[in-house]
Amino acid sequence: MITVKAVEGPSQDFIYLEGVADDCPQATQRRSVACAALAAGTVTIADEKAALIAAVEQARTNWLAAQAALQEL
Amino acid sequence: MTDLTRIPLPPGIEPTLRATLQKWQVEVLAQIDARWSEWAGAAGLVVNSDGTTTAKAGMGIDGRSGSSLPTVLQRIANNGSAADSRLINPVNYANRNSVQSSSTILTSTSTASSSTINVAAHTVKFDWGTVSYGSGSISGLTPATDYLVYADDTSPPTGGAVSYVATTDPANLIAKGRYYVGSITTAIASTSASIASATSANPIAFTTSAAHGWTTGDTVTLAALPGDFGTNLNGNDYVVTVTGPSAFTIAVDGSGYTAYTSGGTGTRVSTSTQGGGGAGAGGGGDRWNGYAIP
Repeated sequence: MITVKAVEGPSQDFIYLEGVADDCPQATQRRSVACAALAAGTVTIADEKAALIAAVEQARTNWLAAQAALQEL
Repeated sequence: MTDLTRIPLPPGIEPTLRATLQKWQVEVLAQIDARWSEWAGAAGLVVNSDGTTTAKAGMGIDGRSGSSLPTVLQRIANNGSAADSRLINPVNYANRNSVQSSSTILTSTSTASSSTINVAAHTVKFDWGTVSYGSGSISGLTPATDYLVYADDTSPPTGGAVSYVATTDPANLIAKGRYYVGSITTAIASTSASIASATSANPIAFTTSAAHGWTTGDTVTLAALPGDFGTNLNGNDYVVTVTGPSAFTIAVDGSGYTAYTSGGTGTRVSTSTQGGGGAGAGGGGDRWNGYAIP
């Protein structure tokens, strides 16, 4: 299960999404989305959320695979 | 000093006498202690008669005096971090105060209208330890634009999952605890063109149904081509040689392919990588390098 929420960030020119895998906090990632691009319609929150979920899922897969490999040593 | 043990004392008076002498001793030592810095050759903190303090050479901040001194001392927090860079001497090794674990932390991809900068997970090594930063991304950026990437961290830095930001203004890099990751030129806008014809020749020559806008050396992904073209070329990336506004060739021998019929697209692959290291003063050939401000 990957949860996406908005978080605070350094610049008001961006909004910040954070994706967290409930069983793998090491895969947590943030995606900063330019407000100007959102206003212009060149990117959408839905697409950005989907991209973040995919990135977190990939990081989670990599991390769990690494842990499993370590167990086999 | 008189040796009390050599003076005969009446029975019972010794404890009282000793207590009195100890009290005098404490008072004398207290006066000596207050002026010790001056007596020792101005080596430390001097308490003035009006209650203010003056730092002498031994404190390393010679000349600061009066009510400002306590403020200076208070600005050095318990965690060892100074309030601003004027209060600390730079500490560096080989002209660096930090080193990133990779010189290609940043990569960029672009669609037809916007770019994304991806930040790989990495570490930054300081003389006092190593800080790990999680991966992240910044989207909605302008293609083919120079960006400076930073994140705000705690002071001193602790890393973890941070929010990365891209800016074109170097002034935005300077803030307490701000971590400058590096700079990158975002990838050029991705463009696609429909294939109108292809030759069964060496090299294979393509035409597109409209001007493709590419230049020689661009990498193009071919897809949905028919027959032998599709079997051998679909899904692969090729460096193109542009022979006209709507024509290009790839260095593949297609002389044995069945004749092209119709269909297919070419999409310019648009990626870029970081040009130089970020953290660490004097590092990496990066235009804006410098930093990792603790």
